Amino acid sequence: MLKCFGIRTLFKLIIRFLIVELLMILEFLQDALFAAVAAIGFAAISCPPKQAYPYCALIAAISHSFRFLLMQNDYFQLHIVVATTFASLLTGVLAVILSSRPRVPAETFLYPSLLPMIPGIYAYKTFGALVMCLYHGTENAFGHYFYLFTSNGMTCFFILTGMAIGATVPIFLMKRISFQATRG
Amino acid sequence: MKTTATTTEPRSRLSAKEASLFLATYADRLFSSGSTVIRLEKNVKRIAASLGMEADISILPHYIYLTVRDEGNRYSHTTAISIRGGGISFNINTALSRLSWDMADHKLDFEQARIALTHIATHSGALNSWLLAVLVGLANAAFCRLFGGDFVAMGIIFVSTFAGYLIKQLLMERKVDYRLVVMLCSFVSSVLSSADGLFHLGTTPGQTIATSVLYLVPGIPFINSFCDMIDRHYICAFSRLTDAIVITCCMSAGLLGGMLLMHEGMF
Amino acid sequence: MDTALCIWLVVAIVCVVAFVLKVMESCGHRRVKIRFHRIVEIGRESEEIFVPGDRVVNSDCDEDDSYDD
Repeated sequence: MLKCFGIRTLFKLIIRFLIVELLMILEFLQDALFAAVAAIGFAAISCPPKQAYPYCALIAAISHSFRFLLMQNDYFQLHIVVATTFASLLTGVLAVILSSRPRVPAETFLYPSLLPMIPGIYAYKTFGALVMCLYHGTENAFGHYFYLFTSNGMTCFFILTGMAIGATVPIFLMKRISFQATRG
Repeated sequence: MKTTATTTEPRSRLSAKEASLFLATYADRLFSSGSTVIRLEKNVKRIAASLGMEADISILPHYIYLTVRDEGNRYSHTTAISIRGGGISFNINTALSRLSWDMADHKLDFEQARIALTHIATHSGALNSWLLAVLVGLANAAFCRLFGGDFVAMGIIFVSTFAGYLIKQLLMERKVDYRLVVMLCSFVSSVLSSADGLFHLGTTPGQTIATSVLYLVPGIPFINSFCDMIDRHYICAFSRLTDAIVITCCMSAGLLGGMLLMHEGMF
Repeated sequence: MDTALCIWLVVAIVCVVAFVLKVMESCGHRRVKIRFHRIVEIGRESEEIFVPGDRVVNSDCDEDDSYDD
């Protein structure tokens, strides 16, 4: 009887673990899917060659879900700046390697794939907080909004720096591939 | 375009002046299509080498200065060209990069390259405007989901982004200043997206308004400016960064205006 | 009626008008010109601030400079 009870408890624990992991996997896949859709839409604004769309979607899905994994896993949670840098590094490597296939510059895949990671909300919250600083005259309110201004502004700046460094390093390291991708 | 020929030369072969004018037009098109400065420099030097010449290029916020010298530095020509501007187009970027390699591999002679350059500049490869508006709407809706919005929020974002982008297209066709366009479009999108809170449609009204204007964020100028900074082209980098910051300010102003009028708080 | 609702309705109507304009343009009609008399435009500095001694542009009496003593 004790044995049955032990096995039943173990079984319940395994089921619970699988459900949690399945939910995590579903969230991961959802993140990848919506990042791909966002990349295709924002890529369309910058008129890439038609053969670039599937590559943009694929690279955006991989890099954005990788960032999601680095920030949201159960074992360690990286800060958004660090996670974005690593994800941009992955984006840069994939963009350089895949760019020679359809003979397009690496930036054609790189920029649309990075666009879902651009810190747009931090950017406009920075300026919004600056306006609020001027709007509210009291010291406490000013201090609060100034904190929001600097916090959002610094986060935005360092995310962009991390993205640019992470994305550009593979282009410089693999110069021959990246600058000869369009060679026929 | 202003040109200053510093030395005269016999007319028997390709002159530094012709090469300089061609390269200046090439550089202008490539820069306006959203290329980084390092790619621009490499392509220009590659084309110059294929013509048996050397080129040096200097990029300022509104002008490109290009000096072309022939073999032996006997003749040289400097061209100053004002940057035409225009929309980012990776189609043009790709075509111009391929053109530089075709010239370097001697697949095209100078006259063929000149014709190809004229053809490339007039074909940006832009999609149908309706399809573009739908794709941008879907992209922003996907963004909303990534930031935690529910499906009702996604639907509202799609509609508000579609409307905002249509207005952007109409105003851009009428040559309205881009900063004013961004301000108006962000105002329109933020007001329309506040329907989530106004009519109590969904459960995430905050995310709806927050993501309604993200399609206007100048992501590529931001990334380009940091890439140029890494390559130590500081003037170009700071000019692009300033442009991007000004656009973001205009977007924030429109968003703030919409949120204040709709009695929504940003924080 | 609530202010926010009024503003939302006005913006929604403007968007519907813009949509109709765009549909008309796409159906091959000529670009619909919205004529505004220029209410706001950037003028030249000389039109806004005149300092005695400034040369008047497009003036009928185009005299030579009277700077020489």
